[in-house]
Amino acid sequence: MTVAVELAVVPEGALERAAVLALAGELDYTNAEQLRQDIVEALPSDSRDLIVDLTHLSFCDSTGIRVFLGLRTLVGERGGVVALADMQPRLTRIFRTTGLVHFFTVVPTVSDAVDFLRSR
Amino acid sequence: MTATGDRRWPITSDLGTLRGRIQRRAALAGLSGERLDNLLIAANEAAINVLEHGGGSGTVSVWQDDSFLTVDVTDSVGSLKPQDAVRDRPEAGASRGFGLWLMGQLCDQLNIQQGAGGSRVRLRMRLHPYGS
Repeated sequence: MTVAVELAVVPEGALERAAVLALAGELDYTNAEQLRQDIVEALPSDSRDLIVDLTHLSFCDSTGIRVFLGLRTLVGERGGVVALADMQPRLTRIFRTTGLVHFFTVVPTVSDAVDFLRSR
Repeated sequence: MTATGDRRWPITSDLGTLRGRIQRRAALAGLSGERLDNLLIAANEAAINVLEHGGGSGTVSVWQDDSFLTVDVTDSVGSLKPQDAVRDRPEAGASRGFGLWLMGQLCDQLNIQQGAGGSRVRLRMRLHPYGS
């Protein structure tokens, strides 16, 4: 099973150089590397900030977290930030327990992520 | 104490199915919400270890007694030692090494046995954590 990656429409009023990626499925050791490649392919080259819509990602393990850390590095090199929106309870648990929640901007919804990016 | 409902499954690259099985068995034992999530994340980390470092083959068994729901994860390599169950937290920026540490954080008990045929990681959750 792969995690679906969809380049979503950037909400009205967002910064021009922000991309929104929506993930769906269960992210684990068996599909993390594929997801990393899929995200790198889906990410527009002119985007700076990245909003990841996690509404439909129901699981993420420690290998999945590595994908997010890699994204953070990639986006950081462009001077941008990664905002994680609508994290499900199981994801919140692993991000909080590992302390890695502090490495990302975690917001309730995609529109909160947009507000955050605009206020930067 | 009587152990009941012993189920055993092989660890394959289909971790999603394995998680579904563990989740159903844990729910049947009365685990729910955050504590069920904790066990599921820990068991998944143990299974990843088997795929990544444990020779790629192993089993997961789930059983319960009066006090605990227990998940045993075995591998065929046996490089994990009892003292691996007591790990320091990986550095904040580290992207690896979280698996065993996480298991210890998320479960009520974590211990490791090492034998000739492999290692066994034992994850346990109290069935009555609040003394009820």
